[in-house]
Amino acid sequence: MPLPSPLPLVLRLCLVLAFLTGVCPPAESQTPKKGGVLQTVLIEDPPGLLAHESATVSNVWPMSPCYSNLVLFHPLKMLESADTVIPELAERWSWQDNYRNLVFFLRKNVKWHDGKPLTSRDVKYTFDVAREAPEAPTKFRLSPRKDWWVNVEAIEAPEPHTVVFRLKRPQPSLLLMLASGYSPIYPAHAPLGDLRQKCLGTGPFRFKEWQRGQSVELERNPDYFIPDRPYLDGIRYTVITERGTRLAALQAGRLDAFVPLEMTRAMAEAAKKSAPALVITEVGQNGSDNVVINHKRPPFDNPAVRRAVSLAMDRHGYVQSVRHGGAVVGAGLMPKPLGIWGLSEGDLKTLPGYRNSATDKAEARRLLAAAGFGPGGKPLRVELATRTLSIYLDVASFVADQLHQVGIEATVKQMDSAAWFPALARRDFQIGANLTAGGFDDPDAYFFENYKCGSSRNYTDYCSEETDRLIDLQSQELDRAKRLRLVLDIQKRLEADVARPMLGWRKEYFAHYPHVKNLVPHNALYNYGRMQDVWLDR
Amino acid sequence: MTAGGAVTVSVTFFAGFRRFLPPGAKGPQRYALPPRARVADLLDLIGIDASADATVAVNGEIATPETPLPDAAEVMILSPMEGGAP
Repeated sequence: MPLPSPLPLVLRLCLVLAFLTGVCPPAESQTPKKGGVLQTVLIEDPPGLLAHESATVSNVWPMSPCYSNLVLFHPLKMLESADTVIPELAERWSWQDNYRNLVFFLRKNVKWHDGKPLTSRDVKYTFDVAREAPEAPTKFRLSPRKDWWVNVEAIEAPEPHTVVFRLKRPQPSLLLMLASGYSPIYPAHAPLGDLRQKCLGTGPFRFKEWQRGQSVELERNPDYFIPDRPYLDGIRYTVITERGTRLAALQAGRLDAFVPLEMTRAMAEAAKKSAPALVITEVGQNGSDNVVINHKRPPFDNPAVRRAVSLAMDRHGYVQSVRHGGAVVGAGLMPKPLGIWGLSEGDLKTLPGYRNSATDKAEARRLLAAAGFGPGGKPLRVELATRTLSIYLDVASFVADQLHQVGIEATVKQMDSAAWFPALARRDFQIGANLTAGGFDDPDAYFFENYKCGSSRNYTDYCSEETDRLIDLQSQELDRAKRLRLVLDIQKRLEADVARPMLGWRKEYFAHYPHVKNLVPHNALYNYGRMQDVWLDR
Repeated sequence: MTAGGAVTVSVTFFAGFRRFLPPGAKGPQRYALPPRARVADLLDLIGIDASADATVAVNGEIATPETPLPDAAEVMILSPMEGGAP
């Protein structure tokens, strides 16, 4: 299936350059213009405004411009890595003691939007709360990425502009975690209850209004710590919950830019046909479509039944039918060229569930029959939970069909975001069609969050002491080639254990009009919402 | 300011510079220096060679050997900086 065509020459060059260098250069050298309000979109109302309590782009996309991190992935580089991390609130940083201590020196001209100065105390506060440290003065309602910080022994603020992260063992990936859109710094002086309703950050834009179910509006921060930034006067995020209406708003030019996550290849083609001026950029999303199986709920407490579910899934069929070619088959981590850590195609072809679909499905039926289900046994009926968003429902329909083909009858249960995430957190589901996106393309971000015993986002409750040991081992490995070998072995283990059947890794087709400058999508969907360099050429 | 205008600073050692800690000591150490002491004087007092590949920060600012040491300063002696502004 062709890409939206014809792709403008500049975009084709951009894509080639992006994969070679990670940088999508400006189309032409232009002097940025000040002013204007960027019109973009949300697919649902944000479930609160605290990114640290959140696991959705519906929060991170509108909240990123309000806050700052210690460090940031370079806004104009599509492919993120340790080499693309740049200063934000931290002016400088340095690893000490063989990656056991990470020292940051903060900028000294930074003010919160209420005029109070930023200090190292705010940094310590943020991550002590996120990691639920004993000395933390308060607690998030939920800290979905608490396990990102499990290796932090202590955070010290020896003077107002110095912060030291002391680690239990070496962990080079900690710097990347701090660069993620999920790692904003919060003001220690503002109650969390207030921040759930109204953001108070140090970012390029400050809070203007949140009209529930309608829009979030931000306005330019005149005291932003980077001189002459931001260029925009403001950003408006309109909540449009219906997919067709969102797409129509984009095609009609009522939106300048779309939202990460949702633009599929098929949608991009339709949008481009209707609005040829649109710039569509294809990039990895660091997001997978997968099946979450509750390992503790019958019948999925039986490993053979879990294995049958994985064998039932035709991954190549999923890529074509659900994502219309806008995804790739992959296991535990995003494969090349979208990412750098995933199993190769050659490795994948040897794994159960990734081979010939008819053979795999036949094996699934045998396993189910041996477990007493199917013809001659008990009928197997399950409730397949999913989120009430079209991009989830697409996956759920496919999964239900695949299960039906091996004799499992699934009823799809739709849940809105306010119900979906708590249900996952409480493990109040039997099986689910799920989308997972990582904070950045790195094994620590994905493995700790999704596969470690006891992690709150390890929704399946998969738990293996040996896998945990290997996850810790790769995390502290300083030799990149050795680390990659460990990471590939872990992914094979996760497949063998049917930890969480993966369907594939989505590609992003980020859409904006050519008058939107310096809005470059990254290969991780949470990390390009800051907007400090974005400007409108009109 | 201590008696006679002398300055006292707190020094935190990182990486290989921990070998300059007094025997058995851990954590930040306090050093007293004469009035108008500079970073170079502190390094000399500790025994760190002036040619050592060290980064010194004084109250959160990267310092040079000539940087004066205010009384009660927080000093860090680190291996070379890696990331951030030049």
